[in-house]
Amino acid sequence: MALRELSSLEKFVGLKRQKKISTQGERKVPVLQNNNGSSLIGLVTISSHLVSEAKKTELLGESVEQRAVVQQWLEYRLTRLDNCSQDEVNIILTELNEYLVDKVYLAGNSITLADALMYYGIHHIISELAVQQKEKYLNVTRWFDHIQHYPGVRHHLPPVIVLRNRVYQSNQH
Amino acid sequence: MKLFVSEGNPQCVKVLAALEHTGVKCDLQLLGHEEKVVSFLSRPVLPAVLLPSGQQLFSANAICQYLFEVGGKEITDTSRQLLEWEATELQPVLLQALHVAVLQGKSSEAGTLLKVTLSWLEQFLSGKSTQFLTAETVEVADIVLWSALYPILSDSDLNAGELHLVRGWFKRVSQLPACTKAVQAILPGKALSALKNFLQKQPALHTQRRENLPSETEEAEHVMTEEEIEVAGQTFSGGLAESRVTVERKHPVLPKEGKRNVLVTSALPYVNNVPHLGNIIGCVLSADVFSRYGRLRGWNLLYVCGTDEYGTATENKALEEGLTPQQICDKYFAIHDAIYKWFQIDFDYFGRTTTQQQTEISQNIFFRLLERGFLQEDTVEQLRCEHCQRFLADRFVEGVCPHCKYPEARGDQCDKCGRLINAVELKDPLCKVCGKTPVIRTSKHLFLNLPKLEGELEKWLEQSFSTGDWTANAKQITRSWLRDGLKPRCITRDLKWGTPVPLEEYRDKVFYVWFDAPIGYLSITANYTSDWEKWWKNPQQVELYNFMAKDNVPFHSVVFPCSLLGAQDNYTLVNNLIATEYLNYEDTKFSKSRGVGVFGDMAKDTGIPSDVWRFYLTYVRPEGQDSSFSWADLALKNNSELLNNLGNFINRAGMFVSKFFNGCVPEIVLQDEDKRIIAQVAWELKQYIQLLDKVRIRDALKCVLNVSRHGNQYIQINEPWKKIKGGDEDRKRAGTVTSVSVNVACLLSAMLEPYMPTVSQTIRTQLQAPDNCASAMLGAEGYFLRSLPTGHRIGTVSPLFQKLDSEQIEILRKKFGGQQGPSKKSSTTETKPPTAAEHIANQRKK
Amino acid sequence: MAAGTLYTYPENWRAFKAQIAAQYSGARLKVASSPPAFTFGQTNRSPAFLSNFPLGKVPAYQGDDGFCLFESNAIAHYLSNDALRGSTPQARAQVLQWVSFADSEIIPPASAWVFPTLGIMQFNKQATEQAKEEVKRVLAVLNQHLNTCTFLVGERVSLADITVVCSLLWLYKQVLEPAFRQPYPNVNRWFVTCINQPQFKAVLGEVKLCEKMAQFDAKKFAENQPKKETPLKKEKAGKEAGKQQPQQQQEKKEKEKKKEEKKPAPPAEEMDECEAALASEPKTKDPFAHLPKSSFVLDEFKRKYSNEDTLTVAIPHFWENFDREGYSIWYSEYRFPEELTMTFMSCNLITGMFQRLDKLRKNAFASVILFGMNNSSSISGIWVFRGQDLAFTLSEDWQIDYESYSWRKLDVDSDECKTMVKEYFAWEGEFKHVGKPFSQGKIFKKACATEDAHAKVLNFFGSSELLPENKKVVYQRRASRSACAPGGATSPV
Repeated sequence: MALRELSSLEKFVGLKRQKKISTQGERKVPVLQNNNGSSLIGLVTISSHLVSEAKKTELLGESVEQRAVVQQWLEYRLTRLDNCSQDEVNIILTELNEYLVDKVYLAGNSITLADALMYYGIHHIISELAVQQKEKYLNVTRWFDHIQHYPGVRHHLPPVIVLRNRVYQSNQH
Repeated sequence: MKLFVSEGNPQCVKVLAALEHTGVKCDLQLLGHEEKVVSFLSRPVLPAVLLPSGQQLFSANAICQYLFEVGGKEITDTSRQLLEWEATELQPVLLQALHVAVLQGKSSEAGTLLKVTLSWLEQFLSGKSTQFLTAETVEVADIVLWSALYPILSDSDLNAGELHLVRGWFKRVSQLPACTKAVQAILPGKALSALKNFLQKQPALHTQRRENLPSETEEAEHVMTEEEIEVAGQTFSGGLAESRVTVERKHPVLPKEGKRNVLVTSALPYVNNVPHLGNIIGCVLSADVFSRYGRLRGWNLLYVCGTDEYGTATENKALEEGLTPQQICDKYFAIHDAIYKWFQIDFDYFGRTTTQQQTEISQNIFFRLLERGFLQEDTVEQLRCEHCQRFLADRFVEGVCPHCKYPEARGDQCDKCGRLINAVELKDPLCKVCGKTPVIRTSKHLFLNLPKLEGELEKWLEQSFSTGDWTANAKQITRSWLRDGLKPRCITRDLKWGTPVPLEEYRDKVFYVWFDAPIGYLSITANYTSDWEKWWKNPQQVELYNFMAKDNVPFHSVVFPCSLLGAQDNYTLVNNLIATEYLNYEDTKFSKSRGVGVFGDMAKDTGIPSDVWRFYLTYVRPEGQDSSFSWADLALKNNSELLNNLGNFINRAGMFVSKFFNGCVPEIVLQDEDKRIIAQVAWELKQYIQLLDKVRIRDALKCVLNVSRHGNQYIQINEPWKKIKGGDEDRKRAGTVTSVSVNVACLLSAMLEPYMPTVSQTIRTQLQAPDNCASAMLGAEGYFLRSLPTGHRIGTVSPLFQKLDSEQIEILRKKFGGQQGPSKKSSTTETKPPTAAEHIANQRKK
Repeated sequence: MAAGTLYTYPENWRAFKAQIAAQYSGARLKVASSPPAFTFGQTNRSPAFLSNFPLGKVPAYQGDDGFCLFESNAIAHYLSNDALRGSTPQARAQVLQWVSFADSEIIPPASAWVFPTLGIMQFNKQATEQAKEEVKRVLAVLNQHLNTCTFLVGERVSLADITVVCSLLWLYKQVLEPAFRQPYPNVNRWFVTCINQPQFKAVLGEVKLCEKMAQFDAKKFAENQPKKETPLKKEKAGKEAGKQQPQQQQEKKEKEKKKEEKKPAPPAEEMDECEAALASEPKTKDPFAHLPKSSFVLDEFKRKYSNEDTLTVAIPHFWENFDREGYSIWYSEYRFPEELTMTFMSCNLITGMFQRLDKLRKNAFASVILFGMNNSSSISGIWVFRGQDLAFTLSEDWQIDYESYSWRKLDVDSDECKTMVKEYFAWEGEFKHVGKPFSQGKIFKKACATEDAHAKVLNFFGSSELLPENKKVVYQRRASRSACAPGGATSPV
């Protein structure tokens, strides 16, 4: 998973040469070998590094505050979202739904690495949601649809069809 | 800016330390563990920071990073890595260790838990020459890790290993005044005991958090054991056994001793209504996929269905069109038949309910019920429309449901709450034909005494539930019915077009459709073979599957079984009731009157092949919940799954054989990698079998796509198109890879047959696959065999699927989006502009 | 890639649409919103402007290639790229839908509600309440749509978002206080996101959302009203009425009018001119500051000219006091007489030029005459400037017209000069060099009152030269000097 994500991310930020990335351990943590022999470990670490290398640092946040928020959601993706149990899924969706009521992006007013990695991480959940559930977590769905349409983000993942009009009236849930 | 912390919360140590160290101005507030600061999080999380802009931060590490950055320090790659490591590797283990140490008092065990993790840190430090983790000065990583490790490393009881370097670093950081201050504030006294309160309040540790969601994550790769791989390799190499020959289907299909005899029915479509995609996937298509599968599995299977023809609707239509009801039925039966043929629904027999056998069998059951005292007479109040001069059939009355107040409840059932009602119970009823309010008149009718049969029904249901495969919704609907209490159901009506009630006083009456329609299953079988009773009065040998949409469940699980139980004639009752939810159309519902949605015959005119429709409809089959048909999604799935995944793989495999190996399947020399993919494919095949056995049609389809996906990856990694130009060794590799791939393609043709019969046949023709390979591989638990041996000559390979481009799709979507207005009553095949189909046809020519 | 100039007064939300669109598309847009490039009320009244933009309204766009556009939506559309306009026929139609929505559903109630709070319009309780309800309805529609959509059309910012945001700008700034906008979380989310996009920010700057609903600003409204015309009665007295009192009132009125150069049009007219009242006028420094003081007091001459007989008093006074070092005399002739058609239009040319040279009045005097008749006329005049060079080059504001004229510096001592001065100042004479009869004359000496006042004057004196509706020429001066305020002792504006 991490390998494909990172490969997509490379394309998103416009890096030409594909890096040598492998995985280690049973959790399949990605490892990036640098040319000088040192290595970087961890999905968020490597992603941030790629973004900096591509000189797209705005994706990490343009202000101190925005950077902290980006960091926070990246951590959330790794510690709460990845490998969560079925019960956790609903909790996460509810939390994100609440958070996204008045936001278009997870951090600030522009797309950041937080949106991209959260999108990759949550894709398998969203694609399995039924129509009613997508309407229940309306803000998450809206955010998801926006990110998946963002040029360059979606590479390795199939798009999820989101219907625009509500089929189910809200009082049925 | 405000920082909220709580005492005894280890995460708070780091933020406080960071605050002290960086000297950032901030208000501090001490809260209890339960207090919720961040509104959108479901559990109270501390520490939390409220920034002046209104933004909230709830991640301790992010807060620390923020504080350091505000203080002027930027975060480096190494810092990030350490923070990530802390959050993803250290914290989970740490929490567990603390739990064990503090709440269970087992300090030594805690230490053991941490050994591995901390040794990594030790190793990390050994590669560093700086005083602190990332630099010569204390940075954010130091604060974060120090704070996290404080409870462990400050306690001498906990032995987490030698850790010279770690302890050295730890001591250096401890000397910071910021750290001491933070610790004093949050963890006064002995760290471990201070944590007790906090740890007790934490939710249960998710030790089982690492489970992968089965078949939902794209690459939830089943970890193959060495054994599995070996076995798979061997089975594969074993090849097709010579003796397995497919048996040609001979009609009439009858139960055989020693075989699994499966009887499949699909809910009889009402003859007058042209079926739409939702009807099709709900009933006939689902049953067809299962039936084709069953036959491949070697079951002795009979699949029957037919049109349900009696009732007032037909009567009215006949009047409208100036024909007799029989003529109407003939006309529409042909339409249904044509539609299902186009969809390649392989009924063993598709019949009708207006036959002599229907009358015989239903009257027979009727008499037996009467004799055994399960029928009672009563006068009934019925709605009679004086204007139309007749008693209104249930479907001709609409009113307000007395239970749930739904304003469009029909005369026999409320669409919204699903309850069965009598038309007279409706509030504000109106005659659907003329719109006038009907009056209530009395009439004598016969009732099936469901309450009397309740006990027996329940006994049978319990057994059927537990031994058979009922979909969850079917069970639930049935149970709620029983809970509400069964009432006698009226089984006669004042109509002309129907099965006549064979009693003198009831000579003007016919059977109510929901009494005799299910009997149609029997009579249709009777039209197929005079030995119909071998299927229908043979519960010991026969397994009965009923396929339907959820609104038909009560009739199939309660009313009809009661009729059969009451008749006491050893009738076969349903073992497996498969009910689907509703299929929506785009953002709304199918509606013939508004011209919204694709109805049976229109699919043909789109130019999109029948198999593609079958594929998509099964892909979105509404199993656990309602689903939606979407044109955009149809195009997407066609292009991504059929074209790019399935089609691409099979085509490539075949092309390699043609181009590089002169059309002959090359030799195989299995290496580890090849064995691995064979094992993977074999595993998917097993999943497929298990799922389809349980009628999990949608999930099984995913297995098919997984196989193809693995295939694509396998080819991609091994690059046979390159290797073929290389030396001997390389060419041999190319040969093996090609050969394995083309065999996988052969397996795919078998797995695809229930879903896409034409495509499946095409593949087999292209590969010149032996006839028996499908049934060989799908037998028992499923064996992935090498069905195409070395030297096998294949046929001409060509692409299986066409791309659907967005323009075509837009044209189609508009066409079916409801702009036409109410469609003409008698024509079902309207003249369509040929653009969309032509477009697709033109594409094909390219 | 489009490149050109956008004429507008500052802070014009209609212009923002085009400006933001240009930010996205990369079109090179110069914004001409303040003098000397653009003076609202003057530049857009000039014939040059009107010939390109007949309505005389802003924003108006002129490409570097000469292509002209008015109507803010058209300009924004032109300056956009395909992504903003909509990349499929459906998307394009949707964009158009929202743009129309903004104009027909948002602007009317928004204006009705907001303008009284800016003091531009009279407050009407019923109208305001109705406007509030309308706004609620409109926000509800937007909110519903934005439930499932991040932006109005598709997944990216489009002209629809730009247009609707700009249309809602004043609402969000003035009256949509937190409680009022709370039921529309999606609209708020979308609005905040848009205005924080870098392209929006570059044009709008920091947008502060309303904290408390603004109320009718009665004081400002009173200020913006045109004053009562009591001095006009005095004007009737003609040149004899050289009383201080009315003169002073007149001067004061002129002064005030000068300060608020943007006039409040009656509420029924286009609102953007009203909003112009919000823009402030920058102060320009005196272009003549570099010249030494002169002995010739131009104002005094002007007074004499206005009040006394020209031939016997004013002209001799002129020659007596004229300072040839400090001032120069020029002969000017309109270079394109063949283009002159109707005489009244030609007169407008002259007065238009005078208008634009308003600031020059302190340091110049001129008498320009229209000769001939319809379709056969010419214009020429005598100009007296401070300094030895053409004054026009001293300030960018004054350069629009002068190139249409040929300029010849006259030798002060020559007979020719003396004759010309005599003839042109008195509006009598042979005018040998012209060859056409005298038709009308215009004097450039003092700023006169606003168009309203002059229109009233005009009507009062029964002007026979009514202007066509769409030519907003300031005023018409009659041949007789009595139409103008008599010269007075106080210094002119």
